[in-house]
Amino acid sequence: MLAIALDPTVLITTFDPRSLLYLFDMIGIVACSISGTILAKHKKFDVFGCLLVSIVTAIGGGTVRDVILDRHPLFWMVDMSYLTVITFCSLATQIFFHPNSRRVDKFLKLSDTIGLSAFTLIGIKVADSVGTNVPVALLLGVITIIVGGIIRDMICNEIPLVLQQEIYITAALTGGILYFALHNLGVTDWIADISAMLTIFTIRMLAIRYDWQFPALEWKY
Amino acid sequence: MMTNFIFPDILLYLLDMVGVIACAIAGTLLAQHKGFDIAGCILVSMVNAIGGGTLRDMALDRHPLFWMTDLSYVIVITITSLILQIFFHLYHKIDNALKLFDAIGLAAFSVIGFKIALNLDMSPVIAIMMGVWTAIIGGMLRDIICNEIPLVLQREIYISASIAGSVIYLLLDSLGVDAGLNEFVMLGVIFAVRMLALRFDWHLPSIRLVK
Repeated sequence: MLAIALDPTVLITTFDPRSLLYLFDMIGIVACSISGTILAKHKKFDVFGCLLVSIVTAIGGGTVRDVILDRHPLFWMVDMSYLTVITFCSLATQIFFHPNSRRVDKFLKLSDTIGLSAFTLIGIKVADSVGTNVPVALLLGVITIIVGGIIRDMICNEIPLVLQQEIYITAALTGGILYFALHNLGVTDWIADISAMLTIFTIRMLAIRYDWQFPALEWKY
Repeated sequence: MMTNFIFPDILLYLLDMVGVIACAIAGTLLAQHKGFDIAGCILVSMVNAIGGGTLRDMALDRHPLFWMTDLSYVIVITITSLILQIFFHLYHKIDNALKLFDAIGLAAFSVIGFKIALNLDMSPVIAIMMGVWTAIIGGMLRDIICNEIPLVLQREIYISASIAGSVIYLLLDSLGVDAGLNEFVMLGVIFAVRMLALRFDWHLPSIRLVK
């Protein structure tokens, strides 16, 4: 296995974007479960309460998407690595939690952005494989990324962060549209995948770096 | 009528109904405090009583939903909620009874959710999670609607009791104990843990290392 991985020709010819996508998916799951645990800790939930909030944050969006599309059994019931990773992350975060720690902040933003790009692409691809049309697929991509965070904030009695003037949905939509545009032009699958993910990642990172905000549509008079 | 019901077991069905009544009462009480109208109170009590089971069934793809085939759930909840709204001023007299009912409901809901997932050949971890979902999601949704921080997620022995019961079921099952007997052991364990936690004011300690 290691020999295959180290052989450059094999690596290039058998490049499978799905394994990369899976890795990014897991990074996003880690980010979501850490952010869920931190918010739950601030609200003084107990061990299992924090665990539940982090599970909901990480897999809530995908679950809602799959229930809407009637894809059963759900992905985390088949692949146990999701629940394992979330449980482990949440427990570790609870043990090393400090109420005013800034150390995880940067890591969290980066991994959350990687997760954002992976979740969007997965949501769009899943919806596309079921045969929905383009706007519905984009909508399901957005649902995959934001519903987890919305439920987390609702449980913790906060106004959902992702709905407030952040370049979050916007980045996902841009990447999704680019994905479909490249797909229609006949670009190879994995190039379309990677450029869509890169676009989402770049827009979101720039938005965080330069504090971009989407203006509210409002008639000033 | 019993064909699409997982447990023909009359006792479990009865305990389930006790739990539904407790949830309906708790939902109506909170909704009344928030000044909801008659229909709003009924809706909150419905969500509280059957929300957990509904989300479990949607996750496991079990259709039609249990309260659509067995109308007694909806009827019992509506009547309970209406009666409580009429006699709302008497509610502190039922406080102790409500805690007892609620513990019975927790035990019954957990056993039902757990067994349903096991019967669908889910892995034990998923089954434990489904037991927890069935028991707590109703209360969580109630608190979200009423704009409170969910009580069941804070330092109460609630999820822990459900998980403890499920783990004991799995342990006894691997030792070869009969499933029917095992269900009652699980029911008893969850009920006992919850009642002891209420009686002696147990809380789950925080596992924080950094002070």
